[in-house]
Amino acid sequence: MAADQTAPNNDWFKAQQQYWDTWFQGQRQFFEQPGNANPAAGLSGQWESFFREWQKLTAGDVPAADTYRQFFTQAGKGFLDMMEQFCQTGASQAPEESLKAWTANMQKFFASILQANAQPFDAGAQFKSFTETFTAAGPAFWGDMFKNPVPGQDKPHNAAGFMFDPFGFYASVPGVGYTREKQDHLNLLYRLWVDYEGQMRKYNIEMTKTGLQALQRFQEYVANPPAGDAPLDSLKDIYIKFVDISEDVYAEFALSEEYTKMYGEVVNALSAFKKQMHQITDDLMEQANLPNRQEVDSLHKRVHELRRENIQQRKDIEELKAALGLKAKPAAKAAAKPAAAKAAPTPIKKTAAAKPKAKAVKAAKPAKKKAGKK
Amino acid sequence: MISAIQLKPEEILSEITNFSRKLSEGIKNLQNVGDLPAGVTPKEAVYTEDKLTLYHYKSPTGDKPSLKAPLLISYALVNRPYMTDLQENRSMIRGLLAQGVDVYLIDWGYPDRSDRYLSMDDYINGYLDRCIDVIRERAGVDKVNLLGICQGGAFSLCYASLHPEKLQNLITMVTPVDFQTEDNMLGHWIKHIDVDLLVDSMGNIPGDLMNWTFLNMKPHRLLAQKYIDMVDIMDNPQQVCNFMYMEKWIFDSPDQAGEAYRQFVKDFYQENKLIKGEVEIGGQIVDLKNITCPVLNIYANDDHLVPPSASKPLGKHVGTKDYTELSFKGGHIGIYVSGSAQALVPPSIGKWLQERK
Repeated sequence: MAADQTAPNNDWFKAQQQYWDTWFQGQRQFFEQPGNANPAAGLSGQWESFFREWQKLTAGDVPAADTYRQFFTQAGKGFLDMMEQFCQTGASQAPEESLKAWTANMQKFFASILQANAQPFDAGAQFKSFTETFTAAGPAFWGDMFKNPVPGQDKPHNAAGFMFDPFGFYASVPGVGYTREKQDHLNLLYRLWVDYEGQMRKYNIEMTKTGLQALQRFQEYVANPPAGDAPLDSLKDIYIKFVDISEDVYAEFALSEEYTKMYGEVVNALSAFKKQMHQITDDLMEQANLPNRQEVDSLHKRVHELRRENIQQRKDIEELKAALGLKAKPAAKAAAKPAAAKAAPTPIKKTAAAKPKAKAVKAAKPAKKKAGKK
Repeated sequence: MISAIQLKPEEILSEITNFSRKLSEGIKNLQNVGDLPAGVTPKEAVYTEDKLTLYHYKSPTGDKPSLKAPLLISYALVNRPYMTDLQENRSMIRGLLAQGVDVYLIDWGYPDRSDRYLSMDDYINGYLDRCIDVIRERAGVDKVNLLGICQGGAFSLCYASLHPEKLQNLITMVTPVDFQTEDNMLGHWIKHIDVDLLVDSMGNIPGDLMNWTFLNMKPHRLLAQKYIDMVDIMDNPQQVCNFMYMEKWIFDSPDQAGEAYRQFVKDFYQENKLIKGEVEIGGQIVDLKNITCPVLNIYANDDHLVPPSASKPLGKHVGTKDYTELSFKGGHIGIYVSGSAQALVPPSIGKWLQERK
């Protein structure tokens, strides 16, 4: 059984090994070519592919790994694109011109993000995959919510008259009938989703603006460096200066009230969306006669409450024994036993030796008891 | 007009060629890094409870501790405590052992969904207190020394206020005390977050979410420049190894038990209750004035996570008359692992403790 379980892993490792060997081979061949005129050629692509694969190996199914990877490769590419830019123009133009071309490219990049996020959030465009995901759950779960609004058509997003934001139409009316509650849950989920997407766009726009602002400040620096600053005499120096300025601009914004409010709104919108999604998932689990998160959470909560009571009772017993002059059992030995003996769960025994010592100074314990509390 | 740029074409070409070569050749070094252990100094697990393990460290040289009262290190719940023992030559724990300190450390483990309802009371009056009792009994002493790091430092302050009778000395490292100073980015960011909604929607707070937040405090440097810089050292196997040790640690982030996170963020960050004397744990008020044992407060001058302005106010809030500050020229991480930290921090702690044994 164990052998069967490890077999797929071995295959996976073999495949990974093969991938990397091929990658190294390609790299070596590229650099072994005599007289390679442009050592920066394709660096950006190499970088992206290298980190994409490296991240795949290491990131696993970490949430937001894609976002991280995108930012990460894009940010690294900034430097490598700059290298390529300088290499392509080479001696044919002054370094300042190459730098101008690079900053112009960066500007275009930021502008494209700005433009994409400035468009109003088009829920209709997102509608297809969203509805398909939920319709896959079947009408038995969702009642009439995802049923065809126009007879003869099996997908609501195909329905004429509902092409734009059909959920918006549904979400604007309260649920009715036998599936009223489910409709309301989904309406709310939809509204929270739209809200989150809107907040996220707003966030992206402002962040892109800081990128543009950093670029502008960098250009100003290059044109008019403060007296006494050392010249930037390598590409790395230029890049580090750009990073320094970008961090400064970002920090100014990130510490502002405007940013903290916006950040809070994004996080709160996402939390609300996720909470509603979990609610719907819980409902689904219940209908499938499976335990859901709420039930498991309740059990965990009760276990914790019982444990706290149990600890308190043990303490009370120890104190009573001490007050009565009864010798407590040497529980400390058990509590302090090595981890190897973990199988016997004796997690929270007070040390008998420690107890009287602690008690001796208890009278002097300055922590104030709060009225009404235990 | 003077341009800041002074580049020569042949130097550009040389720089690019060099970069490409290092990137290409260095990947083999990355591949050869192999498994990286989490902690390098010999240690023994002396107590376990739930996911927590209490470790007792052994001096690699076999020297006996010269200080009778042991030192317990209480690390933050975010990230893993092996940062204090990353590599043989980058280990605060080894440095402390060399100073004759008898070192214990709490590894809080990786909380899962069953730990969601662990509260700060459970951590401080429960786990931490029981670990201290175990150490007191093992060492045959009434009082121990406690060293709290970052969030673990805030926990240690709470503990020292609630159980002063069990502590001989308290050391805080990169520990926030005033959570609402001007330059505290995390303090600003958390202001408008509905923490109840966050915890209610997520249960435990994912370690990856915490990490993403920390990375976004310096996104250009931590998500981009760092890896460009990495290429510079990629042809040096030892430096690649050092880089990967750090990389492993940075992204080894346990989830945060939901209820403890809720209270920590609301009471400490959003309402700054620690310095107001309003934090309530297990029905008792945490009053920093109760801390009358000697206190050594160590902070890092370039700490972007816990700026010095957040740490330094401790001096005016604790009740002790024996308060010492130690500043370190470096950042939040460098204080454990940099060469200058190895030379400064453990010897300073050792000396300070020797003077107060």
